[in-house]
Amino acid sequence: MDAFFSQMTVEPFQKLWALLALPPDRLLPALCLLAGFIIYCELVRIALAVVLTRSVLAHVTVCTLTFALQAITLAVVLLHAAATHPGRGFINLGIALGLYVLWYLTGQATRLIRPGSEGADLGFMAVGALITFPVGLVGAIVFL
Amino acid sequence: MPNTTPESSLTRKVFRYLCLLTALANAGGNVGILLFYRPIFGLLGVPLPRDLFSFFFVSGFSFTVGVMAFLIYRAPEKNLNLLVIAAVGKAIYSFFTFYFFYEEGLHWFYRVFGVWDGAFAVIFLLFIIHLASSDLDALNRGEILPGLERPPTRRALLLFHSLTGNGSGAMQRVEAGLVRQGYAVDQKHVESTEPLFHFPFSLGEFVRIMVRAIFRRPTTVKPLGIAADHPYDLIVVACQTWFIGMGAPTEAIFADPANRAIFAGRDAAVVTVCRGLWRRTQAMTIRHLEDCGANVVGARAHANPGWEPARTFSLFIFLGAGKEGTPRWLGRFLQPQHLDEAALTDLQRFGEGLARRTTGRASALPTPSAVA
Repeated sequence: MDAFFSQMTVEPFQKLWALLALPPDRLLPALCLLAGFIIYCELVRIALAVVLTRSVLAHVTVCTLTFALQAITLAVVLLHAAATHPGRGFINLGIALGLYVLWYLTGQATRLIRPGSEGADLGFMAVGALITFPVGLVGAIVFL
Repeated sequence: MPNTTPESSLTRKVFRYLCLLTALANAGGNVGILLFYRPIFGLLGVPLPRDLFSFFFVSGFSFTVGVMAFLIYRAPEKNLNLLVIAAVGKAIYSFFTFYFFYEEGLHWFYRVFGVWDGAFAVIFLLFIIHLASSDLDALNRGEILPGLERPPTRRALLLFHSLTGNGSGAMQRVEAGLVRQGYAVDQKHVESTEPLFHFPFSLGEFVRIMVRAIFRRPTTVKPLGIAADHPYDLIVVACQTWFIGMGAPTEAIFADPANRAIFAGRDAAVVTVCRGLWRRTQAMTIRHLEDCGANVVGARAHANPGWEPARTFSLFIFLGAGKEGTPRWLGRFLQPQHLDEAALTDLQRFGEGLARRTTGRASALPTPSAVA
Protein backbone atom coordinates (compact mmCIF):
# COMPACT_ATOMS: atom_id res chain seq x y z
CA MET A 1 0.00 0.00 0.00
CA ASP A 2 2.87 2.37 0.81
CA ALA A 3 4.33 1.78 -2.63
CA PHE A 4 0.94 2.56 -4.13
CA PHE A 5 0.66 5.92 -2.39
CA SER A 6 4.32 6.81 -2.85
CA GLN A 7 3.81 6.68 -6.61
CA MET A 8 0.89 9.08 -6.51
CA THR A 9 1.22 11.80 -9.15
CA VAL A 10 1.34 15.28 -7.67
CA GLU A 11 3.69 16.85 -10.19
CA PRO A 12 0.96 18.63 -12.22
CA PHE A 13 -0.35 20.21 -9.01
CA GLN A 14 3.15 21.30 -8.04
CA LYS A 15 3.61 22.90 -11.46
CA LEU A 16 0.27 24.69 -11.22
CA TRP A 17 1.14 25.87 -7.71
CA ALA A 18 4.42 27.25 -9.07
CA LEU A 19 2.52 29.00 -11.85
CA LEU A 20 0.16 30.55 -9.29
CA ALA A 21 3.19 32.26 -7.74
CA LEU A 22 2.90 34.64 -10.71
CA PRO A 23 6.50 34.14 -11.87
CA PRO A 24 7.67 37.22 -13.83
CA ASP A 25 9.05 35.08 -16.65
CA ARG A 26 5.75 33.18 -17.07
CA LEU A 27 3.22 35.84 -16.24
CA LEU A 28 1.09 35.33 -19.35
CA PRO A 29 0.13 31.69 -18.65
CA ALA A 30 -0.43 32.53 -14.98
CA LEU A 31 -2.76 35.36 -15.92
CA CYS A 32 -4.58 33.20 -18.47
CA LEU A 33 -5.15 30.57 -15.79
CA LEU A 34 -6.52 33.04 -13.25
CA ALA A 35 -8.60 34.91 -15.82
CA GLY A 36 -10.17 31.65 -16.99
CA PHE A 37 -10.93 30.73 -13.39
CA ILE A 38 -12.58 34.10 -12.66
CA ILE A 39 -14.66 34.06 -15.85
CA TYR A 40 -15.80 30.46 -15.38
CA CYS A 41 -16.75 30.99 -11.71
CA GLU A 42 -18.88 34.03 -12.50
CA LEU A 43 -20.65 32.42 -15.44
CA VAL A 44 -21.39 29.25 -13.46
CA ARG A 45 -22.80 31.35 -10.60
CA ILE A 46 -25.15 33.21 -12.92
CA ALA A 47 -26.10 30.06 -14.84
CA LEU A 48 -27.04 28.28 -11.61
CA ALA A 49 -29.07 31.20 -10.23
CA VAL A 50 -32.42 30.16 -11.67
CA VAL A 51 -32.04 26.38 -11.93
CA LEU A 52 -31.80 23.43 -9.55
CA THR A 53 -33.85 25.44 -7.10
CA ARG A 54 -34.20 22.57 -4.64
CA SER A 55 -30.60 21.44 -4.72
CA VAL A 56 -28.56 22.13 -1.60
CA LEU A 57 -25.36 21.48 -3.54
CA ALA A 58 -26.34 23.99 -6.23
CA HIS A 59 -27.23 26.56 -3.61
CA VAL A 60 -23.99 26.14 -1.69
CA THR A 61 -22.14 26.40 -5.01
CA VAL A 62 -23.93 29.64 -5.89
CA CYS A 63 -23.18 31.08 -2.44
CA THR A 64 -19.53 30.03 -2.68
CA LEU A 65 -19.16 31.52 -6.15
CA THR A 66 -20.80 34.79 -5.15
CA PHE A 67 -17.48 35.97 -3.76
CA ALA A 68 -15.83 33.55 -1.33
CA LEU A 69 -14.05 31.14 -3.66
CA GLN A 70 -12.66 33.81 -5.97
CA ALA A 71 -11.71 36.18 -3.15
CA ILE A 72 -9.97 33.53 -1.05
CA THR A 73 -8.19 32.04 -4.07
CA LEU A 74 -6.85 35.44 -5.10
CA ALA A 75 -5.78 36.15 -1.51
CA VAL A 76 -3.86 32.86 -1.37
CA VAL A 77 -2.32 33.59 -4.77
CA LEU A 78 -1.17 37.05 -3.66
CA LEU A 79 0.38 35.71 -0.48
CA HIS A 80 2.02 32.79 -2.29
CA ALA A 81 3.30 35.09 -5.05
CA ALA A 82 4.68 37.63 -2.58
CA ALA A 83 6.51 34.92 -0.64
CA THR A 84 7.91 33.23 -3.75
CA HIS A 85 8.94 36.37 -5.64
CA PRO A 86 9.65 39.06 -3.03
CA GLY A 87 9.43 42.65 -4.15
CA ARG A 88 6.60 42.08 -6.61
CA GLY A 89 3.75 42.31 -4.09
CA PHE A 90 2.45 45.67 -5.27
CA ILE A 91 2.58 44.65 -8.94
CA ASN A 92 0.60 41.56 -8.03
CA LEU A 93 -1.98 43.71 -6.22
CA GLY A 94 -2.46 45.54 -9.50
CA ILE A 95 -2.94 42.20 -11.26
CA ALA A 96 -5.55 41.22 -8.69
CA LEU A 97 -7.33 44.52 -9.24
CA GLY A 98 -7.38 43.78 -12.96
CA LEU A 99 -8.91 40.38 -12.26
CA TYR A 100 -11.63 42.01 -10.16
CA VAL A 101 -12.40 44.30 -13.11
CA LEU A 102 -12.58 41.23 -15.36
CA TRP A 103 -14.89 39.56 -12.82
CA TYR A 104 -17.20 42.59 -12.88
CA LEU A 105 -17.20 42.83 -16.67
CA THR A 106 -17.97 39.13 -17.03
CA GLY A 107 -21.02 39.46 -14.79
CA GLN A 108 -22.21 42.57 -16.56
CA ALA A 109 -21.73 40.94 -19.97
CA THR A 110 -24.42 38.39 -19.13
CA ARG A 111 -26.96 41.22 -19.16
CA LEU A 112 -26.39 41.51 -22.91
CA ILE A 113 -27.60 37.98 -23.55
CA ARG A 114 -30.18 37.74 -20.75
CA PRO A 115 -31.83 41.08 -19.96
CA GLY A 116 -33.20 39.70 -16.67
CA SER A 117 -29.73 38.81 -15.39
CA GLU A 118 -28.63 40.57 -12.23
CA GLY A 119 -25.13 40.83 -13.69
CA ALA A 120 -22.15 41.29 -11.42
CA ASP A 121 -22.86 41.77 -7.73
CA LEU A 122 -20.64 44.70 -6.89
CA GLY A 123 -21.71 44.55 -3.23
CA PHE A 124 -20.48 41.04 -2.55
CA MET A 125 -17.48 41.61 -4.82
CA ALA A 126 -16.54 44.45 -2.46
CA VAL A 127 -16.86 42.03 0.47
CA GLY A 128 -14.52 39.72 -1.45
CA ALA A 129 -12.11 42.58 -2.02
CA LEU A 130 -11.96 43.03 1.75
CA ILE A 131 -10.55 39.51 1.92
CA THR A 132 -8.23 39.64 -1.09
CA PHE A 133 -6.57 43.03 -0.83
CA PRO A 134 -5.72 43.26 2.88
CA VAL A 135 -4.09 39.83 2.66
CA GLY A 136 -2.27 40.88 -0.52
CA LEU A 137 -1.17 44.15 1.07
CA VAL A 138 0.20 42.40 4.13
CA GLY A 139 2.03 39.96 1.86
CA ALA A 140 3.45 42.82 -0.21
CA ILE A 141 4.71 44.64 2.88
CA VAL A 142 6.10 41.58 4.67
CA PHE A 143 7.91 40.31 1.58
CA LEU A 144 9.00 43.71 0.27
CA MET B 1 -33.76 22.95 -16.20
CA PRO B 2 -37.18 24.35 -17.04
CA ASN B 3 -37.51 26.53 -20.06
CA THR B 4 -39.95 27.76 -22.63
CA THR B 5 -39.63 30.38 -25.32
CA PRO B 6 -36.37 32.29 -24.98
CA GLU B 7 -36.17 36.04 -24.57
CA SER B 8 -34.49 37.11 -27.77
CA SER B 9 -34.65 35.17 -31.00
CA LEU B 10 -31.65 37.00 -32.47
CA THR B 11 -29.42 36.07 -29.53
CA ARG B 12 -30.69 32.51 -29.70
CA LYS B 13 -29.99 32.37 -33.44
CA VAL B 14 -26.41 33.61 -32.99
CA PHE B 15 -25.73 31.02 -30.27
CA ARG B 16 -27.31 28.26 -32.35
CA TYR B 17 -25.09 29.02 -35.34
CA LEU B 18 -22.06 29.10 -33.09
CA CYS B 19 -23.09 25.61 -31.95
CA LEU B 20 -23.35 24.53 -35.58
CA LEU B 21 -19.92 25.99 -36.24
CA THR B 22 -18.27 23.99 -33.48
CA ALA B 23 -20.30 20.91 -34.44
CA LEU B 24 -18.83 21.06 -37.94
CA ALA B 25 -15.35 21.86 -36.61
CA ASN B 26 -15.37 19.08 -34.02
CA ALA B 27 -17.12 16.36 -35.99
CA GLY B 28 -15.84 17.19 -39.47
CA GLY B 29 -12.43 18.43 -38.37
CA ASN B 30 -11.60 15.32 -36.40
CA VAL B 31 -12.53 13.00 -39.25
CA GLY B 32 -10.26 15.09 -41.45
CA ILE B 33 -7.41 14.99 -38.96
CA LEU B 34 -7.68 11.25 -38.46
CA LEU B 35 -7.54 10.70 -42.21
CA PHE B 36 -4.85 13.26 -43.02
CA TYR B 37 -2.86 13.78 -39.86
CA ARG B 38 0.41 12.65 -41.48
CA PRO B 39 0.43 15.21 -44.34
CA ILE B 40 -1.08 17.97 -42.15
CA PHE B 41 1.45 17.42 -39.37
CA GLY B 42 4.26 17.22 -41.93
CA LEU B 43 3.17 20.51 -43.50
CA LEU B 44 2.98 22.33 -40.15
CA GLY B 45 6.01 20.71 -38.59
CA VAL B 46 4.00 19.02 -35.85
CA PRO B 47 5.73 15.93 -34.43
CA LEU B 48 3.80 12.71 -35.10
CA PRO B 49 1.88 11.50 -32.03
CA ARG B 50 3.92 9.17 -29.80
CA ASP B 51 0.82 7.47 -28.41
CA LEU B 52 -1.54 6.75 -31.30
CA PHE B 53 -4.21 5.30 -29.02
CA SER B 54 -4.46 8.55 -27.02
CA PHE B 55 -4.40 10.62 -30.19
CA PHE B 56 -7.24 8.63 -31.74
CA PHE B 57 -9.12 8.53 -28.45
CA VAL B 58 -9.01 12.34 -28.07
CA SER B 59 -10.13 12.75 -31.68
CA GLY B 60 -12.99 10.35 -31.08
CA PHE B 61 -14.05 12.18 -27.95
CA SER B 62 -13.84 15.53 -29.72
CA PHE B 63 -15.99 14.08 -32.53
CA THR B 64 -18.57 13.09 -29.90
CA VAL B 65 -18.64 16.67 -28.58
CA GLY B 66 -19.30 17.76 -32.16
CA VAL B 67 -22.33 15.47 -32.28
CA MET B 68 -23.51 16.93 -28.98
CA ALA B 69 -23.11 20.45 -30.37
CA PHE B 70 -25.19 19.45 -33.40
CA LEU B 71 -27.96 18.13 -31.17
CA ILE B 72 -27.87 21.41 -29.24
CA TYR B 73 -28.07 23.33 -32.52
CA ARG B 74 -31.14 21.31 -33.53
CA ALA B 75 -33.08 21.83 -30.27
CA PRO B 76 -31.28 23.99 -27.69
CA GLU B 77 -34.13 24.12 -25.16
CA LYS B 78 -34.48 20.34 -25.11
CA ASN B 79 -30.75 19.80 -24.74
CA LEU B 80 -29.74 22.14 -21.95
CA ASN B 81 -28.07 19.30 -20.08
CA LEU B 82 -25.96 18.55 -23.17
CA LEU B 83 -24.90 22.20 -23.11
CA VAL B 84 -23.71 21.71 -19.55
CA ILE B 85 -21.69 18.63 -20.52
CA ALA B 86 -20.27 20.41 -23.57
CA ALA B 87 -19.27 23.45 -21.47
CA VAL B 88 -17.51 21.24 -18.93
CA GLY B 89 -15.84 19.11 -21.62
CA LYS B 90 -14.58 22.11 -23.58
CA ALA B 91 -13.25 23.79 -20.43
CA ILE B 92 -11.37 20.67 -19.35
CA TYR B 93 -9.90 20.12 -22.81
CA SER B 94 -8.82 23.74 -22.92
CA PHE B 95 -7.27 23.53 -19.45
CA PHE B 96 -5.30 20.36 -20.24
CA THR B 97 -4.09 21.82 -23.53
CA PHE B 98 -3.04 24.96 -21.69
CA TYR B 99 -1.18 22.88 -19.10
CA PHE B 100 0.65 20.70 -21.62
CA PHE B 101 1.46 23.68 -23.87
CA TYR B 102 3.08 25.72 -21.09
CA GLU B 103 4.46 22.92 -18.95
CA GLU B 104 5.27 20.07 -21.32
CA GLY B 105 6.15 21.87 -24.55
CA LEU B 106 3.13 20.80 -26.56
CA HIS B 107 3.26 21.99 -30.18
CA TRP B 108 1.43 25.28 -30.93
CA PHE B 109 -0.87 23.43 -33.35
CA TYR B 110 -2.69 21.87 -30.40
CA ARG B 111 -2.98 25.23 -28.65
CA VAL B 112 -5.28 26.41 -31.44
CA PHE B 113 -7.76 23.76 -30.34
CA GLY B 114 -7.26 24.70 -26.70
CA VAL B 115 -8.07 28.35 -27.38
CA TRP B 116 -11.04 27.33 -29.52
CA ASP B 117 -12.43 25.10 -26.79
CA GLY B 118 -11.82 27.70 -24.10
CA ALA B 119 -13.81 30.22 -26.13
CA PHE B 120 -16.61 27.70 -26.64
CA ALA B 121 -16.72 26.79 -22.95
CA VAL B 122 -17.61 30.45 -22.35
CA ILE B 123 -20.02 30.56 -25.32
CA PHE B 124 -21.84 27.46 -24.06
CA LEU B 125 -22.11 28.89 -20.55
CA LEU B 126 -23.53 32.11 -21.97
CA PHE B 127 -26.02 30.07 -24.01
CA ILE B 128 -27.07 28.25 -20.83
CA ILE B 129 -27.57 31.61 -19.10
CA HIS B 130 -29.62 32.77 -22.07
CA LEU B 131 -31.88 29.72 -22.13
CA ALA B 132 -32.26 28.49 -18.54
CA SER B 133 -35.67 29.06 -16.98
CA SER B 134 -36.62 31.45 -19.75
CA ASP B 135 -40.26 31.05 -18.74
CA LEU B 136 -39.48 33.51 -15.93
CA ASP B 137 -38.64 36.25 -18.41
CA ALA B 138 -42.26 36.92 -19.34
CA LEU B 139 -43.07 37.46 -15.67
CA ASN B 140 -40.07 39.72 -15.20
CA ARG B 141 -41.03 41.79 -18.24
CA GLY B 142 -44.07 42.75 -16.18
CA GLU B 143 -46.63 40.57 -17.91
CA ILE B 144 -49.63 39.31 -15.98
CA LEU B 145 -50.46 35.88 -17.36
CA PRO B 146 -54.02 34.56 -17.70
CA GLY B 147 -55.61 33.09 -14.61
CA LEU B 148 -57.23 29.71 -14.37
CA GLU B 149 -60.70 29.14 -15.78
CA ARG B 150 -62.65 29.03 -12.53
CA PRO B 151 -65.37 31.18 -10.93
CA PRO B 152 -63.78 34.36 -9.56
CA THR B 153 -64.35 35.05 -5.89
CA ARG B 154 -62.51 38.40 -5.89
CA ARG B 155 -60.79 37.41 -2.69
CA ALA B 156 -57.03 37.24 -2.24
CA LEU B 157 -54.70 35.89 0.39
CA LEU B 158 -51.33 37.52 1.03
CA LEU B 159 -48.86 35.13 2.58
CA PHE B 160 -45.53 36.32 3.93
CA HIS B 161 -42.94 36.30 6.64
CA SER B 162 -41.29 39.63 7.37
CA LEU B 163 -38.31 39.95 9.66
CA THR B 164 -37.56 43.66 9.36
CA GLY B 165 -40.84 45.00 7.98
CA ASN B 166 -39.62 45.41 4.39
CA GLY B 167 -41.70 42.50 3.11
CA SER B 168 -44.82 43.50 5.01
CA GLY B 169 -44.48 47.07 3.70
CA ALA B 170 -44.34 45.69 0.16
CA MET B 171 -47.42 43.55 0.76
CA GLN B 172 -49.41 46.51 2.13
CA ARG B 173 -49.04 48.15 -1.26
CA VAL B 174 -49.96 44.99 -3.19
CA GLU B 175 -53.05 44.82 -0.97
CA ALA B 176 -53.86 48.48 -1.70
CA GLY B 177 -53.73 47.74 -5.42
CA LEU B 178 -55.95 44.69 -5.14
CA VAL B 179 -58.48 46.49 -2.93
CA ARG B 180 -58.58 49.40 -5.35
CA GLN B 181 -59.74 46.99 -8.03
CA GLY B 182 -62.46 45.49 -5.86
CA TYR B 183 -60.69 42.61 -4.18
CA ALA B 184 -61.20 41.63 -0.56
CA VAL B 185 -57.82 40.79 0.94
CA ASP B 186 -56.70 38.75 3.92
CA GLN B 187 -53.13 38.72 5.19
CA LYS B 188 -51.46 35.74 6.77
CA HIS B 189 -48.19 36.34 8.60
CA VAL B 190 -46.09 33.20 8.51
CA GLU B 191 -44.58 32.45 11.91
CA SER B 192 -41.70 30.12 12.53
CA THR B 193 -41.97 27.63 15.36
CA GLU B 194 -38.35 28.44 16.23
CA PRO B 195 -37.56 31.54 18.29
CA LEU B 196 -34.38 31.99 16.25
CA PHE B 197 -36.15 33.90 13.50
CA HIS B 198 -36.73 37.29 15.05
CA PHE B 199 -35.30 40.78 14.63
CA PRO B 200 -33.16 42.35 15.95
CA PHE B 201 -30.91 39.41 16.63
CA SER B 202 -27.55 38.78 18.27
CA LEU B 203 -24.39 38.08 16.29
CA GLY B 204 -24.63 34.39 17.20
CA GLU B 205 -28.21 34.22 15.97
CA PHE B 206 -27.26 36.01 12.76
CA VAL B 207 -24.47 33.52 12.10
CA ARG B 208 -26.85 30.61 12.71
CA ILE B 209 -29.46 32.06 10.36
CA MET B 210 -26.75 32.71 7.74
CA VAL B 211 -25.23 29.24 7.90
CA ARG B 212 -28.67 27.65 7.78
CA ALA B 213 -29.61 29.80 4.80
CA ILE B 214 -26.48 28.81 2.90
CA PHE B 215 -26.93 25.09 3.62
CA ARG B 216 -30.71 25.28 3.20
CA ARG B 217 -31.44 23.90 6.65
CA PRO B 218 -35.21 24.09 6.91
CA THR B 219 -37.37 25.41 9.70
CA THR B 220 -41.02 24.74 10.46
CA VAL B 221 -43.88 27.19 10.65
CA LYS B 222 -47.00 27.32 12.74
CA PRO B 223 -50.06 25.86 10.99
CA LEU B 224 -51.46 28.33 8.49
CA GLY B 225 -55.03 27.33 9.30
CA ILE B 226 -56.16 27.65 5.72
CA ALA B 227 -58.44 24.91 4.43
CA ALA B 228 -57.94 23.38 1.00
CA ASP B 229 -61.39 24.65 -0.06
CA HIS B 230 -60.59 28.25 0.88
CA PRO B 231 -62.41 31.04 -0.94
CA TYR B 232 -59.36 32.81 -2.39
CA ASP B 233 -58.91 32.88 -6.16
CA LEU B 234 -55.47 34.48 -5.81
CA ILE B 235 -52.60 33.89 -3.41
CA VAL B 236 -49.67 36.30 -3.32
CA VAL B 237 -46.52 35.00 -1.67
CA ALA B 238 -43.77 37.43 -0.64
CA CYS B 239 -40.29 36.26 0.13
CA GLN B 240 -37.06 37.97 1.14
CA THR B 241 -33.66 36.89 -0.09
CA TRP B 242 -31.56 35.37 2.65
CA PHE B 243 -28.08 34.56 1.34
CA ILE B 244 -29.08 34.23 -2.28
CA GLY B 245 -32.15 32.06 -1.64
CA MET B 246 -35.58 32.01 -0.04
CA GLY B 247 -35.93 32.99 3.59
CA ALA B 248 -36.33 29.83 5.64
CA PRO B 249 -39.79 30.55 7.16
CA THR B 250 -41.35 31.25 3.76
CA GLU B 251 -39.78 28.17 2.22
CA ALA B 252 -41.07 26.13 5.16
CA ILE B 253 -44.62 26.76 3.91
CA PHE B 254 -43.89 24.52 0.97
CA ALA B 255 -42.04 21.92 2.97
CA ASP B 256 -45.22 20.98 4.81
CA PRO B 257 -47.28 18.63 2.59
CA ALA B 258 -50.43 19.79 4.36
CA ASN B 259 -50.02 23.21 2.73
CA ARG B 260 -49.81 21.96 -0.86
CA ALA B 261 -53.58 21.86 -1.26
CA ILE B 262 -53.80 25.58 -0.46
CA PHE B 263 -52.08 26.39 -3.75
CA ALA B 264 -53.34 23.55 -5.96
CA GLY B 265 -55.49 24.81 -8.79
CA ARG B 266 -55.25 28.46 -7.71
CA ASP B 267 -53.71 31.54 -9.27
CA ALA B 268 -50.61 32.71 -7.47
CA ALA B 269 -48.20 35.63 -7.66
CA VAL B 270 -44.75 36.20 -6.24
CA VAL B 271 -43.17 39.28 -4.68
CA THR B 272 -39.45 39.22 -3.96
CA VAL B 273 -37.79 41.79 -1.73
CA CYS B 274 -34.03 41.96 -1.35
CA ARG B 275 -30.81 43.90 -1.05
CA GLY B 276 -29.76 43.12 -4.60
CA LEU B 277 -29.93 39.44 -5.55
CA TRP B 278 -33.48 38.33 -6.35
CA ARG B 279 -33.33 35.85 -9.23
CA ARG B 280 -32.71 32.67 -7.27
CA THR B 281 -35.24 33.55 -4.56
CA GLN B 282 -37.86 34.30 -7.18
CA ALA B 283 -37.14 31.11 -9.14
CA MET B 284 -37.30 29.03 -5.95
CA THR B 285 -40.64 30.54 -4.93
CA ILE B 286 -42.17 30.10 -8.38
CA ARG B 287 -40.99 26.49 -8.68
CA HIS B 288 -42.39 25.69 -5.23
CA LEU B 289 -45.75 27.15 -6.22
CA GLU B 290 -45.76 25.26 -9.51
CA ASP B 291 -44.86 22.05 -7.71
CA CYS B 292 -47.95 22.57 -5.55
CA GLY B 293 -50.08 22.93 -8.69
CA ALA B 294 -50.51 26.71 -8.59
CA ASN B 295 -50.82 28.80 -11.73
CA VAL B 296 -48.26 31.57 -11.38
CA VAL B 297 -49.69 34.67 -13.08
CA GLY B 298 -47.25 37.36 -12.04
CA ALA B 299 -43.99 38.16 -10.28
CA ARG B 300 -42.26 41.29 -9.11
CA ALA B 301 -38.84 41.69 -7.58
CA HIS B 302 -37.55 44.85 -5.95
CA ALA B 303 -34.25 45.67 -4.34
CA ASN B 304 -33.60 48.28 -1.70
CA PRO B 305 -32.46 51.63 -3.10
CA GLY B 306 -28.90 52.90 -2.89
CA TRP B 307 -25.52 52.46 -4.51
CA GLU B 308 -23.15 49.53 -4.28
CA PRO B 309 -21.13 48.57 -2.38
CA ALA B 310 -22.55 50.91 0.30
CA ARG B 311 -25.90 49.11 0.05
CA THR B 312 -24.37 45.74 0.91
CA PHE B 313 -22.34 47.08 3.83
CA SER B 314 -25.37 49.06 5.04
CA LEU B 315 -27.40 45.86 5.12
CA PHE B 316 -24.91 44.09 7.35
CA ILE B 317 -24.59 47.17 9.58
CA PHE B 318 -28.39 47.35 9.80
CA LEU B 319 -28.66 43.67 10.70
CA GLY B 320 -25.96 44.09 13.32
CA ALA B 321 -27.26 47.31 14.81
CA GLY B 322 -30.91 46.29 14.70
CA LYS B 323 -32.07 49.63 13.37
CA GLU B 324 -31.64 51.89 10.36
CA GLY B 325 -29.31 54.88 10.30
CA THR B 326 -26.97 53.57 13.00
CA PRO B 327 -24.18 54.44 13.68
CA ARG B 328 -24.93 58.04 12.86
CA TRP B 329 -21.30 58.95 12.13
CA LEU B 330 -21.49 56.90 8.93
CA GLY B 331 -23.97 59.49 7.71
CA ARG B 332 -24.86 59.29 4.04
CA PHE B 333 -22.86 56.14 3.49
CA LEU B 334 -25.72 54.17 5.06
CA GLN B 335 -28.33 53.26 2.49
CA PRO B 336 -32.08 52.79 3.13
CA GLN B 337 -33.11 49.30 4.24
CA HIS B 338 -36.65 49.48 2.94
CA LEU B 339 -38.06 49.78 -0.56
CA ASP B 340 -38.38 53.28 -1.94
CA GLU B 341 -41.62 54.91 -3.05
CA ALA B 342 -41.04 54.05 -6.71
CA ALA B 343 -40.86 50.34 -5.88
CA LEU B 344 -43.89 50.53 -3.61
CA THR B 345 -45.89 52.35 -6.28
CA ASP B 346 -44.96 49.63 -8.76
CA LEU B 347 -46.14 46.99 -6.30
CA GLN B 348 -49.45 48.77 -5.94
CA ARG B 349 -49.81 48.76 -9.72
CA PHE B 350 -48.87 45.09 -9.65
CA GLY B 351 -51.74 44.46 -7.23
CA GLU B 352 -54.11 46.30 -9.56
CA GLY B 353 -52.83 44.31 -12.52
CA LEU B 354 -53.35 41.04 -10.68
CA ALA B 355 -56.93 42.02 -9.88
CA ARG B 356 -57.58 42.81 -13.55
CA ARG B 357 -55.99 39.62 -14.89
CA THR B 358 -57.83 37.73 -17.56
CA THR B 359 -58.80 34.10 -17.24
CA GLY B 360 -58.67 31.33 -19.73
CA ARG B 361 -55.86 29.00 -18.80
CA ALA B 362 -57.36 25.53 -18.59
CA SER B 363 -54.98 24.19 -15.96
CA ALA B 364 -51.81 25.04 -14.14
CA LEU B 365 -48.58 24.57 -16.06
CA PRO B 366 -47.02 21.15 -15.82
CA THR B 367 -44.63 21.00 -12.93
CA PRO B 368 -40.98 21.30 -13.94
CA SER B 369 -39.70 19.83 -10.69
CA ALA B 370 -38.45 16.66 -12.34
CA VAL B 371 -35.69 18.58 -13.99
CA ALA B 372 -35.44 21.57 -11.66
